[in-house]
Amino acid sequence: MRFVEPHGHMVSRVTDDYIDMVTAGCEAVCEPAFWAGFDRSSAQGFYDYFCQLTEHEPKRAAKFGLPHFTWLCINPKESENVKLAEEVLAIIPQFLERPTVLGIGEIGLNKNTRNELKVLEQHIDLAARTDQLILVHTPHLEDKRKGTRLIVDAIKSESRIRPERVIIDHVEEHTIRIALDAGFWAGMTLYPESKCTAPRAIDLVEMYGNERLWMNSACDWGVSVPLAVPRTALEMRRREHRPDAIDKLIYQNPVRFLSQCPKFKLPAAT
Amino acid sequence: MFTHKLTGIEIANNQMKRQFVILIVFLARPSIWFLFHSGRLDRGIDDGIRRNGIPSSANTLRRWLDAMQVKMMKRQQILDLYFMDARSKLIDLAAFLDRVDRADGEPDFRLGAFRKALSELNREKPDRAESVLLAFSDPTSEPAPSASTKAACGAWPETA
Ligand SMILES: [Zn+2]
Repeated sequence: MRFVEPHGHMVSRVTDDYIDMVTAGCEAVCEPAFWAGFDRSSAQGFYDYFCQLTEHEPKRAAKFGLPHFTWLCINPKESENVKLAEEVLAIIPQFLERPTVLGIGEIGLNKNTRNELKVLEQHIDLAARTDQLILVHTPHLEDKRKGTRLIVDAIKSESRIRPERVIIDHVEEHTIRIALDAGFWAGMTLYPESKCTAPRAIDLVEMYGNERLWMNSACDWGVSVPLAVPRTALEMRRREHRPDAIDKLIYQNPVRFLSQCPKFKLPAAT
Repeated sequence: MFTHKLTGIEIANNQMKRQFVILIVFLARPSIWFLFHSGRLDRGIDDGIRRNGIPSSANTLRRWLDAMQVKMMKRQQILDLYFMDARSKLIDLAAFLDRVDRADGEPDFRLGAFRKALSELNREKPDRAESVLLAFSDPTSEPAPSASTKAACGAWPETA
């Protein structure tokens, strides 16, 4: 089995996780910028975080033979403070040329507020100006449906963004159509307690096909499982999905989307 | 009078011939639908979703999934695989409601939302997971003026 983990917050994980992922067949990991579980007090805190994502973490992953890529932004959980968000947005461009940066993400909404929406629009504008891929975080639980609609409307209203260069992550049964119908990619996040379980993610594949869909563990500092993608692949085998269909979902699809950024290259493919 | 080569049906005149053609076209609709959409499968299956929505009949959906190499199990197999797990989760739900009932306290909007979501399980259509998620969701569409918390609690506070 081979897979790409397209959404993992590795700065929160231990080295055993890297070993387990590589042992299970992981060929690349992509790390979106996110909330640390506490608010950073200044733009300088984000500068240090972006250095960690673009310098330190790729080196740590390389020790286990795993290519590490990243996405940059200020997370919607910290976007309520517009002044801080604008200061962070101002330092992002200097990192965009770095060799492992794939695009802007994970941007989106958290509590669907006006300030969050304003900061989201500024991220979308930055992505449009600098021709970056976009990775979208959709809100949690009761806020997901409304937030997904607001996010999709905001991106669709920006004509410089092509939908096939955007992935709407953390979709569930009530939001997947909103993403796919608008021409975006959709990501299913495999969590033990929220978002999608493995059986539900496979249900969504059986209902909507496997063309513009990927799966991720979104492993971070909370309850999450770095091996969620290969474990779901095993569940797909139990459901009699063919090996080539499984490979498409967990390897070929993320590679196809991410390769829209020329910096995404896997050692085997070069 | 002539005999149709494939079906062997005898057709008396031109009017009957026309009616016969209409009947064949009517019966062949699913195949025609699939022929039309299978062209799209080559160019990108979900272009089909985007423009036409998900195929409506179970038959066409199955062939469409076959073309995408997505396998679906028989009902018996799904029960073999998931019945015990679902049974266990159902008993856990029942025990959770009993536990809540045994406890003293004020009404809580989360319980109201939970009961509303439970009623969705009795729906006939196979979109119960979506309906349960919607029962817990904020149905409004305007951005909120501000946020008093970063966290979500799992149910929309204004659920009756
Ligand atoms: Zn994330």
